[in-house]
Amino acid sequence: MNKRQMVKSLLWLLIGFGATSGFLRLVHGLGATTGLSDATPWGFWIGFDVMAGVALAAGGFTMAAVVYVFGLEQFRPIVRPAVLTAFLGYVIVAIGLMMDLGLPWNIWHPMVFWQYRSVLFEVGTCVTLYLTVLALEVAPIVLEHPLFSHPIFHKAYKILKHLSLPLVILGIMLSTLHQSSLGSLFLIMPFRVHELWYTSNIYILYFISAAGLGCAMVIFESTLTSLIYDHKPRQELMQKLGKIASVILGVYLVFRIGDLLVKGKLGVAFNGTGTSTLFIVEILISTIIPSIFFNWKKINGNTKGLFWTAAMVVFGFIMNRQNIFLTMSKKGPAYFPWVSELMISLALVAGATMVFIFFVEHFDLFGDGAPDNKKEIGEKLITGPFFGADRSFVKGVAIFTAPVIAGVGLALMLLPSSAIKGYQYPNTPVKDAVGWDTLSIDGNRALESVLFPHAQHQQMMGVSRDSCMTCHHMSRPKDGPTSCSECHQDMYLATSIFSHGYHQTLMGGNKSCDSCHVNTKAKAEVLSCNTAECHKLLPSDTTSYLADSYVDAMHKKCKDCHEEQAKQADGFIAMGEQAKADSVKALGYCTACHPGLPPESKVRLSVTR
Amino acid sequence: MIGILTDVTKCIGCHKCVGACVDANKLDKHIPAPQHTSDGLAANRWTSIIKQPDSHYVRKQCRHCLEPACVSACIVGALKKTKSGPVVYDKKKCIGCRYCMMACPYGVPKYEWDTPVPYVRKCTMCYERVSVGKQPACTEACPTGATVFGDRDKLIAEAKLRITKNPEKYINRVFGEVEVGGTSVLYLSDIPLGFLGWKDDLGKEALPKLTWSALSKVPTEFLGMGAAMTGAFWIIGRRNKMRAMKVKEEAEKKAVENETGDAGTEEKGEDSNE
Amino acid sequence: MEQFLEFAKGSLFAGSFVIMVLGLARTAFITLWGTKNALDKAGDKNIPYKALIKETFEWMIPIKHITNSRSAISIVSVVFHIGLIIVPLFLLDHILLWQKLGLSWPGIPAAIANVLTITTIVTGGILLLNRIFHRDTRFLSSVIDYALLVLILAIFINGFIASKPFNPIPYNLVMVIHVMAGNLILILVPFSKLAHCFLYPIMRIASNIAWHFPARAGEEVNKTLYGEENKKV
Repeated sequence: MNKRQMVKSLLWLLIGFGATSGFLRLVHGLGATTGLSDATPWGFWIGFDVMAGVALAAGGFTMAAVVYVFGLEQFRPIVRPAVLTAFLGYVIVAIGLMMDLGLPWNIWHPMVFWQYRSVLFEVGTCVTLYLTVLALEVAPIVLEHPLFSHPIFHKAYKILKHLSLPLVILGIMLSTLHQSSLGSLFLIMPFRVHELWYTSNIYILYFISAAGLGCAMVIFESTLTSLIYDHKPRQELMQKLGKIASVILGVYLVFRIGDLLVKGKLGVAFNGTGTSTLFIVEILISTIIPSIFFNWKKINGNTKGLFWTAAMVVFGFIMNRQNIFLTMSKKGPAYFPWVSELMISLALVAGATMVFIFFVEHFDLFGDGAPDNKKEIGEKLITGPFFGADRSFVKGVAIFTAPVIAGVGLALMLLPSSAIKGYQYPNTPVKDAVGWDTLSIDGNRALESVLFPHAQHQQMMGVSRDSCMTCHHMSRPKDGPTSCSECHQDMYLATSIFSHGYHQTLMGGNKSCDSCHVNTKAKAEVLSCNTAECHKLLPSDTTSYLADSYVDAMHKKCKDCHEEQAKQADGFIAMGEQAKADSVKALGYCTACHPGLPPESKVRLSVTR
Repeated sequence: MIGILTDVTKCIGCHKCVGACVDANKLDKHIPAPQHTSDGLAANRWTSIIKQPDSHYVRKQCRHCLEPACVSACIVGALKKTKSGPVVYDKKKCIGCRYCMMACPYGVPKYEWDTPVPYVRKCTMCYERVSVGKQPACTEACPTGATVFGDRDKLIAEAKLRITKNPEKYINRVFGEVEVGGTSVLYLSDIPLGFLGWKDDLGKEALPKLTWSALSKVPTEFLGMGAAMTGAFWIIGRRNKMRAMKVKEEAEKKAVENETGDAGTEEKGEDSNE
Repeated sequence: MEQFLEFAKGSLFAGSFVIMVLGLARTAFITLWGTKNALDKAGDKNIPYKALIKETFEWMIPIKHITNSRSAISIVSVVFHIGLIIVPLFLLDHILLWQKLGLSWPGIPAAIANVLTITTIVTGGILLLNRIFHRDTRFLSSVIDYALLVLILAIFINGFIASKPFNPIPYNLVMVIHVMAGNLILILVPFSKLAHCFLYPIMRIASNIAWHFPARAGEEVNKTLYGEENKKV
């Protein structure tokens, strides 16, 4: 396997991961497959896929502006890759958003139901429009391929070429809007966003940083492609671009710090808390260090130095977009992205890289796309099938399906069980039953009890020590009446009820270990609970101490008997005792114990274990 | 404009309002897991009782702000402030972006995380009951009159009356009268109620104004950028053209002069000009 | 250990199973495609399909072929395969596992399962010894052939002793080894010679087509490779 095949195999593996996770996400919903909760409604997908994705795609409009508007012709060879990256970036955003939306099939709604007072509406509209513009900007690259030799395509190609300048300017206008609006999204949460990140001018910061990041991203990605495809990196261009980036980053820094100064909050950045450290690290990585490095001859003179500096900026601004979420105040459980969220995001990036590679291999991505040399380009291009290891379809399939399969399998192994089985309800502790003769048990605290005629059961079983033991089988401390919930502590899950500490103290502290843990032959064994006359009534093999879940225990105790009784209904009908048959039959329905349920329901309605 | 007034000093924490809410809105009866909710609210609990020290019980529900952040945030207008006061939700429009949950200063909208077809759920002030002249299920169920339903202005007057009658009993403030631009659900309390929202003092300004200050600049920004870019293109393009012409003229001039001179030096000069 | 066992029986098993299914589909596709290509290039297009299908079934129950010099090993091999197919699929404990994946069918009584397991272990042992001590077979064997056989034997032995009263090793440990080795086998199926469990019919056709290449095809290859006609490869 050569270098390119390795890269592609890795990407296919990630795609396998993401496809599995994405499928399960759509089938089982957000709660089962992500760490999102009411406390953290927006997580990694918004923070990375959308926020960072849009920012990283900023290279498109920056380079287009540099070449088409400011006329710096020497940058023309990197416009096409930059525009393509932007396009793919927005596709990532779109798909990532589809994953994140609760009702992704309604994604077209904003186009119909306008709500112009929402920042999100503005972002959405601009992204949609800009995606269209980018598609039109990318289209000529595709149309150069010999596959599109029909005159219609040629005409379209020419029209698009003529339109390129207006398209570029429209693209810049739209980018300006939604790059800044991504920042405006946070304006409505002044109480949640940390004061080091919140400012009423946040949209200006987002726009400037996007422009600077765009330049860095172009350096990053073109160095990477030249590495994979053994092109010679365009050292001088990159150096110049780095200098442009450093100017923009400098402006950003002035705005950022100046804003804090005006607010009088600069002190917060140095108060030594974790948040302030995060802020300082972010500023250092994203702005200060890179803008020095981009102008330092020792570093900007070689490809490696430039590449890592650009990577630093990219990482720094991903961090910037994430930090705003990390430091957000919230109430409730902490959020950490689940492996499924990471997998889908990674797969989206991998997929985009895959398409980029496809363009590098099959289209004239690094050319200048002069309108008259279409035919010439077409002759140069590879026309073989994409999968091909050496242009043979089967061989390609053979090589690249293996990582996809591995990805799917590994994903299933790594994903949390709820992602595979569906949403799982968390442990809910049960409350004690209340009452004496007729117990009313409100296990799930739904303010609705199951009635348990205790006295009647006592009579039925015959009042004796043994019959009590049928239900109250555990000798709990103080020999008091054992409530069900004392052992069956959890509503839906089996719970451990053995209290090691209690037993230890009762039997005399550290000296007592060997009364249960005895040394036989070579290894220590735990004696069964009924040896040594401790709990004589327990079965001889009881060393396990897991109590059934409340639901299981209650159902086991009552349901079988009820169902058996219900079966006798036919017998009563045969004897002509309709009333008795009806009353017996009623025992078979859930409503016999759970009066709140719809009549004649036989299954549990809302909770599936 | 209707509203609800909750007097914290009168609440005995009986949960009747919660039960009534669950029944009236046909919610799932299972109590949300404590690790999933910090305030007792969830997709199936639109109101909750938060226990506070010294036998204080505070009922939390949607505040139905006069200028709701959630409504201004909603990308499709699925959340709507009705004329009579309640903020209601149209699930047919919702796309599930959850921006409303991020925007709400009280953290009220909750999401149905357990299903693949989830909706945002929150108190609607029993809009359907209210619009046929009944009162919300919760206020109807309250046995002590701790939470009452009525016209918002009258409720404020009533609240102020209670404060003037018992100035030592209450904090001298009707919670929700001016908070984030005013809310339809008001509180009277003897303990601070900052725990209901993100902060003790949420300020008097309505949150949608914060976004509108940026959003209102959008058309200017858009057209300004367009004009700036076209202008820059034109100016730079023209300058390049002029320079090219100049170079050409000079070259021609020199070519004329050079009929006697040396050709080599000239070409060098041209290169550096470019 | 117990939790890891649950994990191995749950997520890991599901993952391995899916890898096996998709992997087999992939191998089948590649083989069929290759066969089709070979067929396109074949000079003699008259493939005796009927005879091929007949032959395929014959090899499945190779009574006809137990006339050669090594009939004993053939019989042992057939017995080995019977247990190998039936026990993993129809043992009652395994049916619980299949039910997790949504598959369900009736099981076999424990007694029969025990007998089959023992025969498989014994015949497997004989096959292993045969591989080691029979000269021709050893010559044809590579490391993976021994490894797979040992792995299968390990799974059967572990599974067999796991639930028996004379089991000297902790139950959980035996089960972890059993389940993990089982998962490994599932993953290996599409990528090793074990694929013949599924590809067997395709393989018969593919190998038959090899006899239908145009005459003197080898010389053509020679020509392309070395550019001269009668060089010996």
